Amino acid sequence: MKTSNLSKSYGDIFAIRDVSIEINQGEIFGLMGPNGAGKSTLIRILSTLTKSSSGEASIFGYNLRKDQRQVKKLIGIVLHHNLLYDELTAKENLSYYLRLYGFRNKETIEKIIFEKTSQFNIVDRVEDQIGTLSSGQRKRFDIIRATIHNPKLLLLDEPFSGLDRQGIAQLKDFFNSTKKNSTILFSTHNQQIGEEVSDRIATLEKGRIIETKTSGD
Amino acid sequence: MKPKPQVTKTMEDEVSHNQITNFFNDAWQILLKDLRLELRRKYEIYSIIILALISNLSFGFALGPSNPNVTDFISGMLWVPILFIGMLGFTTGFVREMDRGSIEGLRAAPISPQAILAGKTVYIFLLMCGGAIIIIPSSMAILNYSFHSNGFLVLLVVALGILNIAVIGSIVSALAMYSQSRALIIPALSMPLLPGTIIPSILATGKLAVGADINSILPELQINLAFLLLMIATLWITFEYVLYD
Amino acid sequence: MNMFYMIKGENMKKIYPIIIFLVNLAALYMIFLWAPPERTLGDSYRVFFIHTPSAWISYLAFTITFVSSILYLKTRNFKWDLYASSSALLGLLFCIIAIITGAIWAKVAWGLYWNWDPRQTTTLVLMLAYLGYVSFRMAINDKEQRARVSSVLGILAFISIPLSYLSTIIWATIHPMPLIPTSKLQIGVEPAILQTLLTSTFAVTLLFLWMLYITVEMYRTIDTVESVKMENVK
Repeated sequence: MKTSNLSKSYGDIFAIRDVSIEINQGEIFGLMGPNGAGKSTLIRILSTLTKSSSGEASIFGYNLRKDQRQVKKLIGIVLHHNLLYDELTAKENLSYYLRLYGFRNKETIEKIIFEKTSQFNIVDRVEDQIGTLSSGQRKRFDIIRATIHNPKLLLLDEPFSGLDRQGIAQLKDFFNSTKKNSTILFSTHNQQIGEEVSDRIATLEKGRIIETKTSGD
Repeated sequence: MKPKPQVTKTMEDEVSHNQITNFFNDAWQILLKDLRLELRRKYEIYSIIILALISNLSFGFALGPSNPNVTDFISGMLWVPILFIGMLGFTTGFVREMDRGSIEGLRAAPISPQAILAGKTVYIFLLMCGGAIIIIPSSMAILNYSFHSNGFLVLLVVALGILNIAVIGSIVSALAMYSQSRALIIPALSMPLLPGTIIPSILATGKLAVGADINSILPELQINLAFLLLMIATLWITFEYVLYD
Repeated sequence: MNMFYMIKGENMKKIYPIIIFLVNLAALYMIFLWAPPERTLGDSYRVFFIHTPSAWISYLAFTITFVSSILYLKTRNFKWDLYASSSALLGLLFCIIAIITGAIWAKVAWGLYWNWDPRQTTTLVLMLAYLGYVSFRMAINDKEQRARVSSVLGILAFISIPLSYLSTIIWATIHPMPLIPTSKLQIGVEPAILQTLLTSTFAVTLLFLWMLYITVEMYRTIDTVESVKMENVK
């Protein structure tokens, strides 16, 4: 994944300005910075939800502007709010999204849902309506939702907030296990978690990248 | 003969890439999901039934049990409550997805915007048909009248009229989700768009109430058909601008 | 916009209003003094000279909104959004004038303020469309979203207006109004009346274009001021 001079402005105000980063396959990349630094905007642009004002971005060679449909197939996103329907059960939600991503075979869908929910230890809640679950459980199901189609690039906006310690540990394990197949870009305002989890970190401030470093140094 | 090489199926192989079947599949999934949500939140279905019955009872009180002039009022008596039920559906279509934030899931999914619109349109269409199925027979029973025309013609006129309202409703709902006063803006948005289809529907229904044949409602049917095609064509081109940046 | 190419220069900006003022003055003279009284309606028919140009402007303005909306979606240049919204705002104004003068004209010519004439009804639908468009714009905060989404509304509303017109024609053939024609519309037959009508239409069109230009400039200035303010806050 690569961006060059990516900017997004609202009128004359820049949410992000001249962001150029390159993330390698299989990397866990952390975006850090205070609230309002432009982390969410960057993630929204990369997930095709917002168009950049200028600059280029490509994901696995697909241009973010021109090949939107291709890009969408390759990414999975987690936003601040979950994208699940309260009145549907977790399983209905997940199979709905799987079908939107082109999966048809019922057995395959069952299998995928079982595998993914096992990873987060919530197989026993799949028949529950999302509205009846705790916020931590919802968050877990939402992360499962984002990864259900095995995206090559996973974009997560503050995935660690709202999770308890156990959830954080599970998510870290999950990051490490998905690393083989997919690249992960996530944002956090928590310095400690950011440095612990990611291979590389970029710090954003007022829409600009002020520092990029390999963590663990 | 060599045995075929064994290919292990990966997840990617399971994904369908046929654009046409994907279009219908995606629209169907969205429709199914919306219907499921609707059925689980029963109070909206109850409010449709109540609205239908209140409207019929009010007309009944206004006109009396066996009013000889009842045929003059039939089309209005049917289309006013059907339209209002439609308005209920307009607010649920896209506005609900926006309110709960799930619209981003649709935006980020690799599906065509037209499939999303189609799913929502059919959803509003079915909701209104459900309303019509309650309103029309109960109105005929309460006010004691019957259509003096071919039943299929009545069905055709009602279904085509409802479909047009549903098309407008889905786009109005999609537009309204960007405004702040989402539910309040819906009448303001739909009123200018609806006369082109609601007037012909009312006229044709009125004619059918007194026993018209297909020839005498042809102009109305033509306008409604033209309306449908024109709106679908326009939305096919413009809808992606509504949904995406 | 090419339409204003000729008035780009600073000098022309001063001369143009004077020309418009003179043309409109001439039109007013023709409307009230030069055109002869109509045979059966007398002087009261003169409202027609105000009604017809305003009705024409309300449709012209909506066409400009429609075209600007398409151009905005194609180019994403906010200039076109300014034209679309300014034109709609002025269109609403002229549409209201057209409806009021139309009602007066209908009373004079046919004895009823509202006679469900297809054109009259369609103009009312047009006014609803304008109102919907303008209030919708006011309900959206984000500038880019507002421009994009209201463009689609501008296109849809424009396309639905002819269908509303066709519908009201069918309606009118089923429910013919008991008209009391106090005059068989012979306006236009007399050359003086036709000339007055053409002059007033021309004058009002010039006036509208000038108003459109000013409105666009006004909104552009407001935009600039707002963004400067925002920059300072930051």
